[in-house]
This record gives sequence, structure tokens and C-alpha cells, in this order.
Amino acid sequence: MQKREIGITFVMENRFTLVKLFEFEKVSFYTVKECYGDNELLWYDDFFKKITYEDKREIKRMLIIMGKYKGAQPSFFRHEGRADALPSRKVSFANVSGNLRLYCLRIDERNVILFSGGYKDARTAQDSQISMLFHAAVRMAGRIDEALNENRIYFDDNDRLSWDDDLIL
Amino acid sequence: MLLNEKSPKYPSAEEQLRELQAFMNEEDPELDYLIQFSIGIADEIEGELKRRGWTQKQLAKALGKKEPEISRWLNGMHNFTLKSLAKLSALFGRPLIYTPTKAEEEFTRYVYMKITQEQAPEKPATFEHQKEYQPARLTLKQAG
Repeated sequence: MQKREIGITFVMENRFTLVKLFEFEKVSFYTVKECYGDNELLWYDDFFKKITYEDKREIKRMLIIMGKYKGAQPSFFRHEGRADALPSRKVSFANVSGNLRLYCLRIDERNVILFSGGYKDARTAQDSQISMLFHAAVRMAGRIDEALNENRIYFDDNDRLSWDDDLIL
Repeated sequence: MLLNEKSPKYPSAEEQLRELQAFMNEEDPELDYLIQFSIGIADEIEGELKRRGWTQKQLAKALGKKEPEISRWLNGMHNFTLKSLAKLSALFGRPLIYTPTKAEEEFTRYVYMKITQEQAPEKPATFEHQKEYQPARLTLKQAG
């Protein structure tokens, strides 16, 4: 009788949901929470840990200006690369300084989702770490869009995003 | 997408959130001034555009800039140089900013008033402003 090896492979899956980061009078900011086993990562924290103190303050300045004074106007955001590159066109980045990229999904004037990012190197983004983060942001933006269309993410009475505790993106 | 078996172990999401919010709430007077100045200047330019009935495009053209750059000026994220403020002031024909001393010189107006007490000294005397100063009302009380 032939001996057969029976193995059970347990595949760990990454799970994603949304977390509210900061709430201001005019804008609420959210980020993605990723879980892998018992390891957790807020995407905005991943970005925040990688940047200089001066850039942290510039980002803080931008979030306060948007949140308290101006709302999430399109002029705060820029787009990566080709203008016709849909659906990546949905994901923009905060227009803060030269090579700093904080990828965002601007839902509307009152709701912005902050993804991860970092510094784009001098070469094209295609072959760098930042490219991976951009594509992750694009895929997540698609899932968030889907959740909005299916009303798993909805708007509350103050026009801010809301969702049930068991939301999985 | 960002996490896998090789990722370092991160603090809990709650801890990450607490730290991010703490940084956001941290006092930073320098940043407060920066925001106050940049919003103030942006509002001033926006007000001037409204008064003149100009679009951002027209301002961009007048200054030889591109429109997205002007949008950034107006959203409060631009760090203006003295040179660009001078250029804007020359274009608008008035200073866009004032230092406190200059503002005091420019805008302080002195009003001289003569107050005559007509009532008997033992009674509290009253003085009512003329119509244009209403609703202010002063009551003069005897010293002691």
C-alpha cells in the first residue's frame, strides 16, 4: 500500500475594514485597517512612520486647513501619471511637497480616505515600493466604491461616512 | 496587501490610532501661526478677486502663472514669499498684508468727545451718545 501524506494547509487571509481617524467641522478623515492573523496595521500609520517630522507637520497643516476652513476641495489633491489611467484616476495624492505621496480617495467635500504612501524616488514610480502602495490604494478604492454602491458604507445625517461594525472590504 | 508573514509585529490598531490623534492634537503655536497667515492671505486674495469680478484663470494670466498654482494659493497650502506678496499687492494696488504697527498707523482713528456734567453733583450724571454712536451709553459716577 502506497503511503500518502495528508497535509492541511491553513491560508491566512488579509482582512480590511475602515477606521475613522480625525473628525473636523468640515471634513472627516478615515483610513484602512488591515489585519493579518493578529497583526494589525492602519495604512495611514504606515505612511506616517516613514516620513520626516517636517512633512508630518505639513500633512497636519493640510488636514487642519481642509478640516476647519476649506473643506476637501479638489485643489488639495493631485493625480499620478497619465490622466487617462482609469480607474487609478480615482486615487489621488495629497498635494503637499515635491516627492511626498500620501495616497487618498476623496469621496466628496466632507469625506476623505487616507491610504499609505511615502517618498517617490527620482526614477519612475513603476519599479519602486511606492508603486506597490499606489496599486494597493487603487485596489482598495475599488472595494470602497463597491461597498458604497452596495450601501455597506453609507452616509449619516451629517453627510459623513458610516458603516456597521462587521464591515469587511 | 501591506501585511504578510514577514511583516514586523505592529502595535495594536488602537495604539496606532491613539498616537496619530495625539500628534494631531499636540500644541504647535508655530503651525497655528502658519495656518493663520496662509488662510488669511488666501482669503484676502479671494476677496480681492470677488471685488474685481476676476476668475482664478484671469489672475493666473495677469501673473504669468498656471491656474493650478493659483488654486493652491487660495487653498492655504502655499508658502508665500515676500516677493510674491509684493507682486500681488502691486497688481491689486493696495497692500495685501500689514504689520501690526503699520496697521495701527493706517487704521486707528481718534474720536474726541467733550462731556459736560449738567446735573447736580450729588446725583449720578448720565451722558447719552448722539444717535450715530448708539446703542452705547455711558454712566458717569462720582468718585468716592
